[in-house]
Amino acid sequence: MKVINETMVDASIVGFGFYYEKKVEVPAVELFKRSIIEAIKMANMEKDEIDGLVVTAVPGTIDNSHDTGIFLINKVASKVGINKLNYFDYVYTGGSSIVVGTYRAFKAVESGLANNVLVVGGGKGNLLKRIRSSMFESTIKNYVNEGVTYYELTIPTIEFYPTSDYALIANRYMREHNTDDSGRAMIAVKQRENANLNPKAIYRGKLTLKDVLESPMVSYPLRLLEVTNPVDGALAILVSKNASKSSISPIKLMGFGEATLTIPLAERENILDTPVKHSVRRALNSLNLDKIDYYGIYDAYTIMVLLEIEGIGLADNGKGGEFVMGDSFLPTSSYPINTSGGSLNVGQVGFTSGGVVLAEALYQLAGLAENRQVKDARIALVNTLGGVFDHSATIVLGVE
Amino acid sequence: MDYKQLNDEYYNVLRSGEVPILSCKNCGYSFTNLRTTCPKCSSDKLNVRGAKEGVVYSYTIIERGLPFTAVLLLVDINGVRVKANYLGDPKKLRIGLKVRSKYVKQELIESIVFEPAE
Ligand SMILES: [Zn+2]
Repeated sequence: MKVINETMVDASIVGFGFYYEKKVEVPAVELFKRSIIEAIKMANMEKDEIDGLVVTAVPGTIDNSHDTGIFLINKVASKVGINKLNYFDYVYTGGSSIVVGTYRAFKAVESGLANNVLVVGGGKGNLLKRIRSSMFESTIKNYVNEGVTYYELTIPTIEFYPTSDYALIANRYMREHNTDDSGRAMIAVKQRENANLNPKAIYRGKLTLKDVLESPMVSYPLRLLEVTNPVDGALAILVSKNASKSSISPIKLMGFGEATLTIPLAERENILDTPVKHSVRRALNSLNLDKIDYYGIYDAYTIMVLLEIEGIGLADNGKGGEFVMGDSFLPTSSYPINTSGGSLNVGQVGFTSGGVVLAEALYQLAGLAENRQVKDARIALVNTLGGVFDHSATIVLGVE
Repeated sequence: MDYKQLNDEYYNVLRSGEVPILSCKNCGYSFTNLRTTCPKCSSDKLNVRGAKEGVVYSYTIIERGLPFTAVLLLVDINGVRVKANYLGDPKKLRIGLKVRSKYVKQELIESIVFEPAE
């Protein structure tokens, strides 16, 4: 019996809105609302037509509460004035959440749970940044901090999670592959070149490899210009079974895959072995990489991008740096990647880079990327990460 | 393994200045996080032993984000890894450095740190 398949409908992204500022003094739900209004407008829809809502937020980025689940969904819905919902979901897989949420919205529409599902993710990155720094001040005397991570009972350590974990990975990478910092640091240079084409990027201006390598050390070998900075905002995506009214070409789901590592970094046999290749393989299915016109690659730290490039299969293990040095990243290159400048330059909206890289893929597919538009961008692959390679989610989206 | 018994054995080893290593009697997997069951096979038949020496698998020197500089290590102890801080000579620090564990206590927090063994 295949009841669900009989009612299967064709779903597509018919609108999206990406609102962010370096810092704003409004409640986080107001940021959600602004992005939702943009998305509904692009779709030429009325808010009363929305009957599904998927929400994600990094805990600590919503004001005065740690609201998650239905509490946050209801808060967002009432802020926007959406009163009748048939489908609700709260997704949290870390930085990959918005991609996972988008996939679930497609499935909800395809299976008939709802007709028009909004996915929204974001919050106030600045808020969590502030909470974290005060946490360090109050607890550091006790020789403990966030270092006692969610795995709880480790030997207490002083660390700067997750930055210091990614630094451990970056250092080991150089040792195993006998490379220096330059290939990894070049990611920041290439993405800045892209940011210079994006008037909405927060960080702009000429940047050389030397500038990156001489920027202050954060956690050896990762330097300041290799690390994203949290900002405030949200991305909203509207998935619908009716694309006829939309002002953009419908964006279709072509593939999705996710994978996790269930043990913490310290216990992994090889810390360079990530779940990216597994999620990408599932998302591509029978599609070849040569069909991909645009890549969105999660970029909270340069080392993530390097290992994702290898996990996606754009370069062999240890050769990611050579790939970066080649004809890549720019809209006119053979491999356009993070053409908005990525979260390294746009800022990490709501303490996650997922929305930043997914939003740019949508601008490209919708033909709205202005002077950074990739010519004939029909198929985009977006890879996102949660935790310290704890989760990887890959989505392939396309337009006719 | 009973949590109280496991906790006692773990901290006895830690207080002796060694890294507590838990081993699964069912599948043989060894790990350093304090868990009451094996993460590979979920067996609760565990034993605790200590180890003092290892080799630096990776390290990072944290210069921003904390009020002071700290060094974080991943130490390989015959294939078992542990994450801990380093309190030795910064000039000796490198991947491959042989390190030795040491018990530290600051206010209420008990921990293990590493120093060079060479
Ligand atoms: Zn076992």
